[in-house]
Amino acid sequence: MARVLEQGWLRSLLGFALFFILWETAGRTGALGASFPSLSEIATAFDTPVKRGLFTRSMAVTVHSSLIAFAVGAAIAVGLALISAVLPSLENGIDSLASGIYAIPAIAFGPILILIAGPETTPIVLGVLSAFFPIYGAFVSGLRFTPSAYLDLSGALGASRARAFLLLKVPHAMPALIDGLRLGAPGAILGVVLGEWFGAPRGLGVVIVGSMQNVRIPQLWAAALLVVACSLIAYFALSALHRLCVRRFAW
Amino acid sequence: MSAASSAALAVEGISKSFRLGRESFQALRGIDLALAAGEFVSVVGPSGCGKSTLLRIIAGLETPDAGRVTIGSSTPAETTAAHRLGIAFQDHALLPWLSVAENIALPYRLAGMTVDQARVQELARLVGLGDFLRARPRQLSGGMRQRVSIARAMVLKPVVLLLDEPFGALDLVTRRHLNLEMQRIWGELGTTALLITHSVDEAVQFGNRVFVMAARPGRMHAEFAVKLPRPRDRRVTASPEFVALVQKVAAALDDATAASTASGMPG
Repeated sequence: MARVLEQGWLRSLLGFALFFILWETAGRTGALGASFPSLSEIATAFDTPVKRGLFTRSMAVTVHSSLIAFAVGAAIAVGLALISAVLPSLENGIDSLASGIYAIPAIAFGPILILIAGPETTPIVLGVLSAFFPIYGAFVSGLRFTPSAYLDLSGALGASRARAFLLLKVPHAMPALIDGLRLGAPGAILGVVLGEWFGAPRGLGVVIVGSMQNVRIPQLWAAALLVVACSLIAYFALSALHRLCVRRFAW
Repeated sequence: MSAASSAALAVEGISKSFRLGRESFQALRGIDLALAAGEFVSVVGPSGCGKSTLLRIIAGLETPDAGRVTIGSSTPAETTAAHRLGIAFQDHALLPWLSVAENIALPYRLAGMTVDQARVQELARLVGLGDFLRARPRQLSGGMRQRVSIARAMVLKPVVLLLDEPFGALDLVTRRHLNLEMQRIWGELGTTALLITHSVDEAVQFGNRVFVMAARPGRMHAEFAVKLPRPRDRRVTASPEFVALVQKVAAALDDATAASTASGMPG
């Protein structure tokens, strides 16, 4: 038994099982109040084709917006990080710009964005803003902290700046970039759902707000849990990619 | 040495200071050194004597405050720009994402030249890694990584090979074995080489000549000619002549260290 428990995945599985059992018990006994339903009660949010249809459509919209937000955020982050690494004179300026974007409180800016970008685009814009910064920060630090031995090597071998950049700095920064993507993906989902609260026509964020206003507790929980599930799937998929990347690019 | 003009590597009157906060610290003062073509010269000195700074100046990674370095008839900058310098560091600086063959071939790619696969394989065989071409550095032992780094330093047929404590991070057994191997490799290639080390044994085992440096400021303290037969295997290193010379160099190194301490920090 002890040997079996040494398997990491098995321990996580047991942990999850225990967590779900506690949840179900807490819900059924009403230990945490009437707004804390049991898992079986939350499952009733999916018990008719109409209800399931609502979730499928909403989730498709949220996932689609999140993917766009993630891709655009990552592209901007990678582009700016590369520019700041190639043109050190712009480094400080781009850093300030990135921190400035990060410091924008989305919750205050959302309603204004609705007026400027419209309710359909606002979720994507907020998703881009939340995904951008961790990706930029991680990639930039990966590019900046090239081991000095690599720089000595390229100097003594007479490598051009462009070759040293492409052959040494960029590959060295790959694990850092994937690490940033791993943190940026949940950010994109969070930004999109937040954007949907501000009056988007469709999406899990819309379902969350609607359920809250109509006191549909199981539906509210079901929508929230679907968002969490999307976030976790994205995070763990990119964590797996990160492990592969570390094995490929680092010691 | 007056033969600087005909030397493969000539260092003349090199001085170098660094700023440490508000104070200036003289790392090297008036260093002269000349290597004939095909000669192997060792430089040994106490830590902090500036021997690595000297090597970095020769490699064009630092510029001296005074004096000049000539490699053949070129400056270090011209030599590196022509990709004719070979260098191996204590931290082997292999790229973990490349295979052994790709690491050895890296200088070609950094120089923008077509990779000569035959040359890469020849060097891998020479350093005893012919069967490990597709392995990754992290699958190799410390000694094997250092072999890759030496093969990489040699791949572009450098006019001068600079070795900055390449065996410094290895355990004693691996180090001895690789010392012998490196002598064999150098014997086959015959490249002019400068070895920086803090091991007197190693300095004597490799060098045609051994220089002892003193610290603060880094300067040449003593020079010894090593007229022992090659290869300097265990038979030679166990001989009374070798042992006596090692003791003489070690004594000079003790002198140099005492002189370094006595002179203190220069103004």
